[in-house]
Amino acid sequence: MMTLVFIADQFKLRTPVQQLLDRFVMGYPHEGAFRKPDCEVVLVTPEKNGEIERRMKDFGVRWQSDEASGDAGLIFNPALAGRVRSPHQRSLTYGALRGTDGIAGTAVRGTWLLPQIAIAKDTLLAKGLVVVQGEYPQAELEALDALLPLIWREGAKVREVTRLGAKDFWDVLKRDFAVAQSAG
Amino acid sequence: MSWSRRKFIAGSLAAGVAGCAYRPARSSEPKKVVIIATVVRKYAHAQHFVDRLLEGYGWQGRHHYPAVKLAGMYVDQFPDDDLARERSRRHGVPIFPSVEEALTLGGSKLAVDGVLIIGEHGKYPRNEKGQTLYPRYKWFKQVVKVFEDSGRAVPIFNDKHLSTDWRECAEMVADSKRLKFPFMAGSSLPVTWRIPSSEVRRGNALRESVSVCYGGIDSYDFHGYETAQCMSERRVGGESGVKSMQAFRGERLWKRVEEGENTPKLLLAALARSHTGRGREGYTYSIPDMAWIKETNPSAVGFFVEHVDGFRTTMLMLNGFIDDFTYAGLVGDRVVSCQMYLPMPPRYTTLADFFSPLMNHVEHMVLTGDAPYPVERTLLTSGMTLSGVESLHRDQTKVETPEMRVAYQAPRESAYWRK
Repeated sequence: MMTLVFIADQFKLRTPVQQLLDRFVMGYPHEGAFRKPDCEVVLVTPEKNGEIERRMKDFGVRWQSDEASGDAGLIFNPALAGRVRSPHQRSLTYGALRGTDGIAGTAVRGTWLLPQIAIAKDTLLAKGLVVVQGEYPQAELEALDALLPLIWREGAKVREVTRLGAKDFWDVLKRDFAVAQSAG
Repeated sequence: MSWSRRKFIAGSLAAGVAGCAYRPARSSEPKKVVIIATVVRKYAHAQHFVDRLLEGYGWQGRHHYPAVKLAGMYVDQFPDDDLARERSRRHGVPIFPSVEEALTLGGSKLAVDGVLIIGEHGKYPRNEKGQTLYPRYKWFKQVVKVFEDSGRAVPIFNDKHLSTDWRECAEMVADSKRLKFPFMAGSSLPVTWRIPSSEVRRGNALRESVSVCYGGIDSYDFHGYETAQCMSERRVGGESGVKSMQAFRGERLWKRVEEGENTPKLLLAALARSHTGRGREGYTYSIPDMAWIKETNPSAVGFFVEHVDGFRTTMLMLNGFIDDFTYAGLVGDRVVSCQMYLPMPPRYTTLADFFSPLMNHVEHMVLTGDAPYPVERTLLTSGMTLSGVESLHRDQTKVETPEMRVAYQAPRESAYWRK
């Protein structure tokens, strides 16, 4: 059975670490049925609290305060990545886009699309626009996580990132994305 | 409840006798519609339709301005938070003092190309069964009288179920057949997004349907029936009508659910499409099983529909357990399931954009004269709503429904939102 190590600064309800950890320990709805991953879970946080104790009692979650060994790590603060000892170098870093081995991203990447569009491979996309709300840096991360899976091409690289504000932003929007403003 | 299928068919065959059948207007001017509404306040159904007609709405990735023009309104109630008068002033849309004057735009003959009857919300009396007596039937008959007096009929959209009395519901449908005008009615549920996008092929081997929803009796139960019926009607042979209805609460409900060979499995499959499942203490979510469902749903109500051809539909209202509308059906040995996406304002949405596909279908019907799906669906779901209420009123006894032997074929493609 695979052992997963969850590493976070704290464990609270309605946080990404709680949402993901609970899915691994109790299961989750997937493609119209409930699925339970076959794994053991170790949680690494500096402090233990009632929510962690509840999961230790209900689902056999193991807790460590500093570091743990496992087959893969789910990291909720990239600065803590060194606290998982994984011989396979498999990790998911929640929220960060770079700086660790393995995959990284937010829940935006895998959520439902309305409508359920798919952009065919090799489509020559000229422009992409994503609209989000929220606070820096989470909003920016989620925006890129929403956009990049749709527009990414093999070998593509980011040439430049420019932050625009106020009038400059509206000028660029009008110049480059006028089609998005027109009505049908 | 003495309406028979023979009478219903006879009413249908009499179509055209009155000589005022639907004729599309021949004009280069935008087609005109009127809204007949109980109340126009924020989040009332009529507000969603009025604002979409006046301001447009997002459609297929663009902001769409309807090709039909709101030419007038009749509004029955004006509470302190009324918006009808503000919209009337801002957009120059007159509010008329009667249904007849709205339809004639103050003249002597029918002067519009479509009618929207939005008889939902507002303060109306309830009867001893707890049904709210909205004036949908009364207004429909006033509209029909204008049609007859004018020698011309135009498409009608009736929001939600037709009426609280079966004979009135059947008479409304019969009037539409007699005068040959397109008649569309019902809920947003059959036309909203599906998660995942799920088309069930017409003529499939569907064996049983289960829908799970929440809300009040004589209110959201109608949405739950529409959630199931827009799928059930696609089974091989088409819809055959409803033979009986029975409602259950408490222990009797769960006993009945568990008696079904596949019903518990379909209930869990529907819940696997929910985004709002209740969690145990200390959890944001819990994997449901029958023990947890029973424990946390002391006020659950279930409605069991026996169709004429033996098909079975179960509709469960699990208040406090979920806040969405989900469906599961057994096609052969395979389960098909989805959520019909209706995030309720203001908690989950501000725009209530599930009204957009409904508005778009109304617009299309007015422009083309084609209703997107048979009004017989809404006739049956109206009848399910009435019979379910009746069963509860009669202490959860079985209600035989010979008057609901209404057969029809589903459209080739479902009319739900997918682009």
